[in-house]
Amino acid sequence: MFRTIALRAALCLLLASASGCVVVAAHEREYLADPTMAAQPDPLEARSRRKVHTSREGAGGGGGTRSGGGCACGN
Amino acid sequence: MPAGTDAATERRPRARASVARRLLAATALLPLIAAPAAAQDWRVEEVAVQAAYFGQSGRGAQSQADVCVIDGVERGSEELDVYQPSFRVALRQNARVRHVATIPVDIVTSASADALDAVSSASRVNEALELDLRTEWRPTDDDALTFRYGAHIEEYLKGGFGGLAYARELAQDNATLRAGVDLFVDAFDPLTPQGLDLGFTKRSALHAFVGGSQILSPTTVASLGYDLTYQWGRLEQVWNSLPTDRRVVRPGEIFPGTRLRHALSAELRQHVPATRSTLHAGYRYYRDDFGLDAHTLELELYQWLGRRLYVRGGYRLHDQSAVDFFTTWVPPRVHEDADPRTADSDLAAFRAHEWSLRLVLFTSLDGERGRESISIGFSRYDRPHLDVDAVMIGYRWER
Repeated sequence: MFRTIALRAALCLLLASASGCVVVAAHEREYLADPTMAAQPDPLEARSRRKVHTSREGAGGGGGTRSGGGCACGN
Repeated sequence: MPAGTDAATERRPRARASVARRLLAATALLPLIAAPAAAQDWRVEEVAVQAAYFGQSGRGAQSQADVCVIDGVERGSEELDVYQPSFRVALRQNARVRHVATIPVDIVTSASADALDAVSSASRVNEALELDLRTEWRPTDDDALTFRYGAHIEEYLKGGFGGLAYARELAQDNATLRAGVDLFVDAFDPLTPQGLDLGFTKRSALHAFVGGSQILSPTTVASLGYDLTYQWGRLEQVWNSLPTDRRVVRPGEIFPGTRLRHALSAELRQHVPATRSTLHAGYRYYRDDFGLDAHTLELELYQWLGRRLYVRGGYRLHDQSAVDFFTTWVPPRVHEDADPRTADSDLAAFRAHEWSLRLVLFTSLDGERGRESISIGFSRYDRPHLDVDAVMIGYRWER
């Protein structure tokens, strides 16, 4: 199990680092500042939708959020 | 905790809980250390409110409410409505310290959350309140420490949590590395499917994560993360039951006393200036030691319609295997057995689809006045024997 996870993580890191040497200067980030480019354009909506997923699926968590705990309805 | 546990194993959770309480207390004090004693430049940076409604209908083998046989399996009602107002406020204390408070409230009308609801209306309406506080402290321009702490209170469960996260900006802010740890402790006094009060019990979760994001081009950002969660204590939903001979009282589900969960996630965000569109594409792989494997794919397309309005269409596909001890029927003699078992439809093998649509209208994009928006969204979550419709209306102002 851990071997599979490690292999996938290594593959993803390799893909992510493939273009990691690109440096985009601050004045070139106009499009990155677009509201739709935020990781979570609306935190409250994202939280509400995540709650549906964590309470109706056995596989919650990921992206910096826990799997289970903190609520009676979580799996 | 499963039946038959000896005194030594009962002492261990007590010791863990003691450590957990001390960690939570220490974490709650950290922001006071981080923030300068003299408050200065306090100002509101964000205010958001949202009203959400979730309507769930469906049937699951774990429910004993209004049972009928579908596809050869006894399935009870899982129908419920959730009304969820939520609030979020961000306060800037000074150039280096920022606080964010999020308060979601859940008002749940439930057919089977408590075992007694199968035969009475003891808890037809449950209320839950959470206070989630985050304090971000930037000791340097490239480093940020975030202290997280809060509490969750609902009808029969009370929990507290605390955590610490560190983020480091690299390569002229083109890359960000993040790592953190959280601890959640829940205490509750549940009822069994037979209506018995088991007395006070608890469960805990220790969560750690590491991840990062990287700007790949003036229009592209990628992120990657790994989350590890370790849970211990009474992990089963004590109101869940398993179908058995109808002449016998349904037994409750039993989980192992610990659960180790892994989630590996990746996301790519791409803006297309020519069409003023943005695509978010995400993938998550999940695995735990209950034997559950899951793959989740999420796509969201944002499209500006004019200068102040954008629409977002989303699709999410979730595919999971069942936990090793999932079953939809047990023999009556299982009452004497302490082996793990569950009929919870959330832990079965299934494929779920979710579609969503959201409109966001900016009433202000003024630099002085701040960015102000109103939004309305709809989503439908659909899986075999269960669906959830959601409507969300929101207002947000941020400086």
